[in-house]
Amino acid sequence: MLQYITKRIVQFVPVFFGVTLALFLIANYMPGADPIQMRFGERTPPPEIKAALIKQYGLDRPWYVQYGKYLVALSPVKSVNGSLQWTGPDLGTSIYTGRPVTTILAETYPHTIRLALVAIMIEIVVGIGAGVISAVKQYSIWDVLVTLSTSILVSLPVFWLGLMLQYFFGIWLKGATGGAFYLPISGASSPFFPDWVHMILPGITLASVSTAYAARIMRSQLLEVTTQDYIRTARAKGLSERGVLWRHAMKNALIPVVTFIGLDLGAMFAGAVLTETVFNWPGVGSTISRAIFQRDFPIVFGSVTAMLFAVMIINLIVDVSYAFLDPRIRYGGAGE
Amino acid sequence: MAEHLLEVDDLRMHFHTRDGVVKAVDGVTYTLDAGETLGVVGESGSGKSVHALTMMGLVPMPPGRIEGGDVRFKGRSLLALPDEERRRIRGNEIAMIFQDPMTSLNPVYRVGRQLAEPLMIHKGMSKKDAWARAVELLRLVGIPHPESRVRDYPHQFSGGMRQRVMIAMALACDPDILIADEPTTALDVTIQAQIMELMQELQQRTNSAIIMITHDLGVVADMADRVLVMYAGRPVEYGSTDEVFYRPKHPYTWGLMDSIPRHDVTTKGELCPIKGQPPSLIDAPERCSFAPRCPYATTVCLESVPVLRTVGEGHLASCHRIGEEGFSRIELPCAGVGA
Amino acid sequence: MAGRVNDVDTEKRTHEQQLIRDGVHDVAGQPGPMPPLIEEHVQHQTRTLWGDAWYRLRRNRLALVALIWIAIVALAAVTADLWVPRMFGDPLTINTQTASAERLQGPSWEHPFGTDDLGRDLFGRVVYGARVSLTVGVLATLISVLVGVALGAVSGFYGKFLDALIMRTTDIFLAFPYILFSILILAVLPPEMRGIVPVILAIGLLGWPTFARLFRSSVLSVKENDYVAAGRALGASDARLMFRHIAPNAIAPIIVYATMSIGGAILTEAALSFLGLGVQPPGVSWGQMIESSRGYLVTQPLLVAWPGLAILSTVLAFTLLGDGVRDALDVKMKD
Repeated sequence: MLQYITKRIVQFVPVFFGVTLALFLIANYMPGADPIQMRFGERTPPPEIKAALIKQYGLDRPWYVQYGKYLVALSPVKSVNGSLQWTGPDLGTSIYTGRPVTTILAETYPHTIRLALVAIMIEIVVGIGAGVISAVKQYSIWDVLVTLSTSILVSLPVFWLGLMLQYFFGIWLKGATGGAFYLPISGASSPFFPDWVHMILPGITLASVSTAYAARIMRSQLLEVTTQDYIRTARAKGLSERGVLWRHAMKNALIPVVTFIGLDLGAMFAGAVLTETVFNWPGVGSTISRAIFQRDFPIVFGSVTAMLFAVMIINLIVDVSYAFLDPRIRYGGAGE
Repeated sequence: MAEHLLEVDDLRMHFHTRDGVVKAVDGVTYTLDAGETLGVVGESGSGKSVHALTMMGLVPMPPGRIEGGDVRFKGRSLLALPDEERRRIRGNEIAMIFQDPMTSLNPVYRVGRQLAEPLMIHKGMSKKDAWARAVELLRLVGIPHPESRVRDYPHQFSGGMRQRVMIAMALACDPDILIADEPTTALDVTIQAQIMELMQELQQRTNSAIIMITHDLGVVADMADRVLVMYAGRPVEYGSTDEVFYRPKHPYTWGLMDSIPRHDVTTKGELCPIKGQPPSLIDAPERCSFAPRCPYATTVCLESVPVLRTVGEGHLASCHRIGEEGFSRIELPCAGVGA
Repeated sequence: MAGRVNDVDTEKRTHEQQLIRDGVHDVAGQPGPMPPLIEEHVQHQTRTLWGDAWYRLRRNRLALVALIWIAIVALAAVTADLWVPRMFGDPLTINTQTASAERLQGPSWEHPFGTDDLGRDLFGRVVYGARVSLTVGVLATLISVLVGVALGAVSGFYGKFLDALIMRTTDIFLAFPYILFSILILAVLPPEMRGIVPVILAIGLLGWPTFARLFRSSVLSVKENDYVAAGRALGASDARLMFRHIAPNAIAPIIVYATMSIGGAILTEAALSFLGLGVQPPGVSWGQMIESSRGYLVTQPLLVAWPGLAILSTVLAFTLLGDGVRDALDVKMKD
């Protein structure tokens, strides 16, 4: 197992450098990218100030020096007056408010994580549940329903689903019940509802695509597993059908599903940009989309960087914990 | 007539597929007594495995459907039992081991757990007792260091060792009948002999009956008291091992004999594989299903399905031409050598 | 009653004699050792792989409906200039005289989907939006396919260092949701440079890794086949082998995944336009229509509903068609 974990961590190294290099290149060398202009937003700086800034930021230095400086800025531990200190990563400052991006992230990240946790809970319960029902009752009306609805869910634009949910549960339902029953359409807290009620619609929206995929994977895994020889062995031992399903098929089928759900957290961050925008949820996602409209590039860049790093770390954790889930890796010798 | 341990009576299992009806098992009849070994021989697709799975109740229905016949175990009709009672017989009174030990054990559970499972289900043992018994079972089937191996996962065992685990699992509840479905096909030749020896040894100790399903006539000659030869879902020859081996009556059995290398015959006989493929079982026409491949076939073979006839002491065979004057096994020129 | 049974070794006649005596020759009609008594059915394989696939696709009703829907949307989009302005008025420009009178109307014979906040015909705008969506979907996928197949071929055929380099690059790409990267790339662009072309490039150039992996694994598996080895033995060049032998066999998974990824590209374009990073007004795209009419969700929800339904139906059609093509070509997708 140690070998497996070491291998994963070694594989993580090129991913880290690949991503940081890509980020660095996008910010500095993309057609249309102008590191100085980005710091000014819509205004145009006078040429002499621009020249001075180029010198100050070292933008006239070779690319690898700049990349090195960029990595140092990202590092949370820096050398201050000759000694190493925890300073946190430097992601720049907002053009409009002048606040450090890391401060903004510290305020918004907890909200995004809260929403993502709700969505993952929905994904686990509904996705796995629907997948199991669909596989156990293969070709039944439930199976058709699950297959059809997952096809629709993965073909829906997430933001449109959010808007439609807002309309039906927040506007139409309110009108239809004379204001007696409806759901809040904004993520910002209000005196009318307890906080968790505000999470219902954004949670469903964010969970939608992932839940559909989880259900599909669960279904196909379970169907695949039930054709395996060891399931026949379990039946031959005299296990009941329920025993076969829950004690023998489920664990085997769940391993890839759990891995998927873990890795899918990354996709959820991307979905959060759209979902949070629709629901004005005060997380990283809505901050990014607001910053896009305001052309506050340091916020866009810093926030996406933070998301990519989160994805990277989650992937690593999922990869490593996979070793604990699957005894074939935990106890070695399986070849793969 | 005295009651047998197992009586299979004209068992028919047909699969209803989109392409037609597949008569996978079509009229299998035999009896089995305690301590006895029956060898069931045939090519793949002859229905030898399906007939065993049908007795175990492991054939998915649909598409499978029992079209007739009965299986009586200790006088009770297995096919008429409610699911719950059949389940109590499975793995308890009738156990089964399968062809591929590499895939027949669940990869995510320790072998101890998998061995303990039938004991906990059928014998109501506590987890602790069942695990203790699992260690004993592993010792019984000759796995070294059973105390530590019981906590290992299947992938940590070799193929031969896994088949030993499978045998241990099948024997956990002291079954009256052990069905072995090609237990050695997936193993190395040297391991094959060890596994066979182990099974014979254990049978002597437990006096259980064995149904040995195989395409290996050598295995049957060594182990079986009686032999059932199957072709295309139907029994073509049935009798004591001596009868079937020394006085085979059916052209298919002759073909099988010619197609195996014999070390007990000194003449340098040619190795003659049976030509052609087993027939498709979908909507099979009403004729002798071996006729298309049979060098002895005549028009009479195409007219109807042959029935089993007594051809010797407890010896049955189904061939239209048996009893015809001058019908006998002949030395055939072997055109297809080297296949 | 036992029948009379002869012993095995009593008679030693030749097989020929036996056959004649048994009358088999009468049945089979001609002499010779072991003539086939019964002719087994021989199926004549006349259909090609593609003919077979097309036959199976036609029998898949869902995929056929999807294909027809895609054809209708594509035809409407291509011919839009010929009929939309004449029937429903120009949906791209604002008629300042009638704008305030005709804004936010519900569906009518004149305006089947109603009108938007500037009095423009919504149906016409949805039709024009299809142009952007289909163009982005098809062209972005085309770029991904070309880049992916080229790199996958290099990777699978030459192996070693290039293979390792390309595969590690795909690892990096696939580890992240590519919409995050496309947000960054497009956000860097000044607004005047935004539009359909950068969106196509961003989606196309970020979507190639899956194609590269699919094509690489196909190349690797086909490379093992005997006929490629035979081709090599006969002295065929690498390029010739690649195009004559490997490519036709490796292309099936690519077609399947490409069909599905057109839908994915349409969704991504919609998301980017919704974030203001895609097509800019006065151009029209489905995602941008939803973005610009969000404020009217309470008063005129149809403004939001129509473009969303257009996206849903089109993407769903590509998903179902992809499923159908996969089943028809009998491709097992694992990646």
